[in-house]
Amino acid sequence: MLILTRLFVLNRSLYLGFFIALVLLGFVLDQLGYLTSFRTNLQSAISPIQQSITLTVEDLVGQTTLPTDVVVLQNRVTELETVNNTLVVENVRLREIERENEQLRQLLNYTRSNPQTNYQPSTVIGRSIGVDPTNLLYFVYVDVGARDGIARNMPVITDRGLVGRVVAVGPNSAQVLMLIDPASAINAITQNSRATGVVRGNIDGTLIMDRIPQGDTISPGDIVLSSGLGGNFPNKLVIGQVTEVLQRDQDLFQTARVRPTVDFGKLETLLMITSFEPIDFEAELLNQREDDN
Amino acid sequence: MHPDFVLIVTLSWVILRGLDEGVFIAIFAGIGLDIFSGASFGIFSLSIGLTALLTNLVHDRVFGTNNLILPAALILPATVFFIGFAAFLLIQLGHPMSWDTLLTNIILPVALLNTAVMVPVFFTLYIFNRLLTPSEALTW
Repeated sequence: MLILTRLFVLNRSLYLGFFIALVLLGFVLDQLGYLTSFRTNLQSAISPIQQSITLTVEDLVGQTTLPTDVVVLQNRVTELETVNNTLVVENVRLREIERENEQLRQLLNYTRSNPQTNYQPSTVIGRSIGVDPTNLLYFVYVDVGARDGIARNMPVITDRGLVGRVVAVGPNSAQVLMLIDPASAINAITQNSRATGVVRGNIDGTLIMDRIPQGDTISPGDIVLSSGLGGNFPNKLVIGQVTEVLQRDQDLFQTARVRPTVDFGKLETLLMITSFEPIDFEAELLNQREDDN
Repeated sequence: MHPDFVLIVTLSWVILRGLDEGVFIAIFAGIGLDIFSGASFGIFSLSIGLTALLTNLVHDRVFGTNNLILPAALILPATVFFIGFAAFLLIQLGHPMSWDTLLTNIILPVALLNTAVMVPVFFTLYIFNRLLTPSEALTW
């Protein structure tokens, strides 16, 4: 450090210029995609360390918790929360099945009678090993990667609902963009009123559903599901529950606040839906244009 | 929401040891943040580098180099600048964020959190610094 400091004092402007050049070069390479493999490989390389730290912290937290009754009560609360979450999701699924059954009865020539095939695909279970180190972005890192069959844009869920999608993959780890990140957007539908809209993340960790047509009825308590429109996510995945509707007559669309069912601060085990293939409309259109030409 | 330990340690070192050493911590910390965050490379390197530079400038010009209590309070405006500048760059690169939500829900709470965490971290690093160079110990 002392030698570095002396060198820096001698050539301060030179080193500052070098630093700025290094950052700009890194930025350009990152934008061109040349840095992705370096970043994912580095993340994969340190993922064993991250896993060890995560386990150690969990052990320490476990050991420092108050013993006896408090522990028993905490376990009981956790059990009940798990049961409650399972029942809520089960209830939502059953309602969807009921609605779908009604539609199937109306469609006489409908031959496929297994409505679950759309969203019970094969999955890979991953463990959360780290979150984004900044306060401005919502990413989570998992300990499964390309070697486990994970690819970009695969949807990620928990037993409580949709978490987000995979945005970068390394050999042994993957980076997941959470729904609550402002860069995330997903087409959604409310379960009861079938109002459609786009659910976006908010910087404060909440969800906003906008682009809801003025004619659609939406009310607090409505369950919000993924609609499958756009082809980026499977349909019928639970996103959250409407808590507040912001409707003004002069606006083109309504907006609603949505409370996510997933606790994004306590992600542990995640499921990656590997059999779902997102549709890249942009690439398909480009291919079609090339074929036409 | 969590305290920015990387920023706190970097600025503490800049205040205790000056920019010449602090700049190296800032460079490595910024590159580390860039690699392990989902943002485009360079955003946090530039933000933390610039914040370290400004902190050093204000610390030396306003408080002098032999006072330690007041400079520790610099973490509050420094956090506002660091997150604000990084958010500005993210917005310019197409990451949608609203400034009012950002200010009330992220910048101000994190700035207060950082100020609270700065005290023990700074004190620990102060002791560490005294062990490294006893002759250069600063006054409180």
